[in-house]
Amino acid sequence: MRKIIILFFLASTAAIAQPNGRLLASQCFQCHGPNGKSTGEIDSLAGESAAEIYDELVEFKLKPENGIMNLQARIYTDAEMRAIAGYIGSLPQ
Amino acid sequence: MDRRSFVKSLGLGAVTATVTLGELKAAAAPFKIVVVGGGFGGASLAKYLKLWGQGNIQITLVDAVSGHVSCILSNLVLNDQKTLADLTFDLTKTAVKNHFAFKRGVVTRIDRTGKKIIAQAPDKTLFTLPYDKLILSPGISFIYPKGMDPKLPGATAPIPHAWKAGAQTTNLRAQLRALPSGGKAKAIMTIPKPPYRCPPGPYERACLIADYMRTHKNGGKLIVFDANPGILAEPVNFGKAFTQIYKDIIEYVPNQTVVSVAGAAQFSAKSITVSNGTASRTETCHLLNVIPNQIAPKLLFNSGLIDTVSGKQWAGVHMDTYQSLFDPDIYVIGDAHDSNQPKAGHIANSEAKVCADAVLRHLGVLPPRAMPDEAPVTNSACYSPITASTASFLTAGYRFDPALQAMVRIEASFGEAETITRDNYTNMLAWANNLFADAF
Repeated sequence: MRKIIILFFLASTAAIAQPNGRLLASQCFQCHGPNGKSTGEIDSLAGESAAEIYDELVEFKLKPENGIMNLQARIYTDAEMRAIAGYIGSLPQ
Repeated sequence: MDRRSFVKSLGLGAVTATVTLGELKAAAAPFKIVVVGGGFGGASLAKYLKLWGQGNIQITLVDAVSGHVSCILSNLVLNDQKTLADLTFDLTKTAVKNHFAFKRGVVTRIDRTGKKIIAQAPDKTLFTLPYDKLILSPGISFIYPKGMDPKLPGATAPIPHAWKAGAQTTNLRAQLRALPSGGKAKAIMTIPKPPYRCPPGPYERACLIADYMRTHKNGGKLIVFDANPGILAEPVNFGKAFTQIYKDIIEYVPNQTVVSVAGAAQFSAKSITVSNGTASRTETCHLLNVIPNQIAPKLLFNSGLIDTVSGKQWAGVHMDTYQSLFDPDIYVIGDAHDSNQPKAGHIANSEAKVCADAVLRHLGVLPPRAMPDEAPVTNSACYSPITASTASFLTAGYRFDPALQAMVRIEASFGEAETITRDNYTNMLAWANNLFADAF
């Protein structure tokens, strides 16, 4: 029982130390479609890996341009971008 | 695990301490959630609350109409690029798709003590809905200037606002079509003081009215009386539109407050008097589109959700959750709450997701937020058509600041399109379609 309790608290700590990937990622869906599936000219996100999403966000954030995604990427901290990427990377294509 | 064994498992040592009353109740019966208002805020809230709350949540969305007409893209009805049918969403279908109930009715009263709403159905009968949590997304009301009668039917009123899409939009479109051609048309529109719904919207409308006049009426004159000292949103691109693209049609006049308006019939002459505080100016015209100053709907005032003693005109909420400052079981999202965030459909959808997450945490369905790692973040993005084939955009992000208890704009994320382009127009249609799919 002692072991189970320790594991429980470890899991619990890990869960609350991360930004909320599901909520943050849902804020991409207004433009990129529900669950990251876009129906028009804007790219779908579903099907991309977490690494791809994270790298794209970092590139948008750092590139000295002011396109809509450059500006959007500048909303998020590095931890938030990782959380977004982690959640979107888990979405079915 | 079935409910009986789940409840039984709550007796296990360490786990018991982490289980909230909310979870205990969730195991017994779903929480009753009532959502008032089926626009971008309310429809998105109902969808995401059900999606994330699953069987713990039972939602009823209430709206006065079963077909929500999107204000987003509705200015394109004026220059024939969209129809109202393109922009109308059947809330009965939305409810089936997103697994909640829909009930048509006008909410007449909130019984905060009894935790229920009282509403009037289309057949005039009253019905009540009890709630554990009530989420209000009722949009805006207007403060009409002297001479503008709100009781006239929207479809035929002499002076439409067309700031809630629907019959008023059809009316404005009909009046545009009735303008004389040969460059003789004279139209006037007015822009209110903030806060108002959709900061770039009035400037966008001026462009599209001018586009229509140029394309179908050989030009004419559109006077834009702005109550503000300058263009409030996308000043570079709308400035370029007014002084270059439409310089032969648009006369933009800042610092003009509406004093009074007059108009006897839908297709007869209208007049307006404005003032800059020292001098007044009166004009007559064929078409007068007044966008009045805006205020939260009366229901929020009547329910004690607005700090009227301090002169507030919008509902006070905790900005990290949208929970009312005056009632922990009521939340207000979208245009009707007091906020640094703009009043617009895209960000109402964004707020709805933050609110849905917060409601589930308050109910104990999700664990409490860990701050500051999970500080709420919202985003606003919109495209503004400038002509029938080009557009600009405006975007910004907001983050909750615990010290200020406010959503604060992230300046590095704030900006308008560097140029007016055809690509922006294409992306605008794609953005809107995805947003519509996410909300409805």
